[in-house]
Amino acid sequence: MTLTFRALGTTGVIATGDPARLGDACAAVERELTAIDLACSRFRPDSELSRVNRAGGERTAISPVLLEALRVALTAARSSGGLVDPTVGRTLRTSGYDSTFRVVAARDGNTFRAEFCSVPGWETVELDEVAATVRVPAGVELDLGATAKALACDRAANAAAVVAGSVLVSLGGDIAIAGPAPDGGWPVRIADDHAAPLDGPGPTVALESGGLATSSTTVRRWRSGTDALHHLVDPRTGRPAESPWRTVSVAAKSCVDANVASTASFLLDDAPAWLEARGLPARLVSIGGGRAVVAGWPEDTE
Amino acid sequence: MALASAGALVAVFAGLAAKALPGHHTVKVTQVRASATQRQAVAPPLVPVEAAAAPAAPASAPAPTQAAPVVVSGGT
Repeated sequence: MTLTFRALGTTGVIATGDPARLGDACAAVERELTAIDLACSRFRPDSELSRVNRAGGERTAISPVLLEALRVALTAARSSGGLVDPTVGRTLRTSGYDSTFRVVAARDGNTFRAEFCSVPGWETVELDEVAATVRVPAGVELDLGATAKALACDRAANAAAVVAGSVLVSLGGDIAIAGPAPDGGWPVRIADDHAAPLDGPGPTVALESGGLATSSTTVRRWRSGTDALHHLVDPRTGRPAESPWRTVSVAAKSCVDANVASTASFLLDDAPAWLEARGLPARLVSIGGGRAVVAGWPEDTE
Repeated sequence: MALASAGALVAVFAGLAAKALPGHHTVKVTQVRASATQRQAVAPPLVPVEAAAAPAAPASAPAPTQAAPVVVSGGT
């Protein structure tokens, strides 16, 4: 039993093993997503993150939700060697991703001109977990897009599982599973675009636990003159990542871990080896359509 | 806290001095500013970000299946 909804600027899906508990699961998921949106949205002027970005270098008191989101973002930055960096906010904004993607996509790319900024680096963020405050230097803007949606998935699935048992939550194709999976696991189709139809092309795999994330440069794209841009920023250049891959799917212990790995894979010199060394099952699709699977991800059968 | 108290005391004396000796007012204000700057330089203790290792592997790898999918995982 599934329910589809809109949240955090994308499409969400809730599935429960027991159809009778779908309503309870939805209520729990909605509470979590509302909390994450109020804390972490870069596009809401009333969000906590917007307030931090406007603080001009002053220390700001933050809620437990934003504290967790920042802790997750900084941990992701450290564990990825800085490849997944929350201080890409300014260059994302000046390069054109300055509003919800519906607005960005509707802009006239012929007249828009992107500008790029250097990325200050996650080490500039001062998070004081004891005092529940954060300070970012004036001019530094945080974007939690690489981790907050995945964190929302994990939190929502865990909250829903308390009231509904077996649960799958998807946000824009990032998936978290909580509670015991149904017999045979949760079947998930893999595609370039999470909005692809369920009966479209692409392999289907079964998940028993944890999280699954797919990152792709084929979907969230816009134009600056003749240049095609996308949202996966390389912190080393402040520009959209140049990668041999177009879509990477990773399974991990949590949706956050899966998303960190799938995002970092676009920036690594040898993503398959990095994923294999960490035991992260993954499927990588190259720009030309070639496919690689690592760490136990099943070969495509179609 | 000690610096804050010291700053408050300086401010009190600055106010008294300003009333008694208006010509010395500027000097006392400068002392208050110096105290505030000194206080800002003492950063609160920062707790290191969790020294988590790389993203953790799942309990089991995805398995091939012929079941009808309930959701699509793809780019956003």
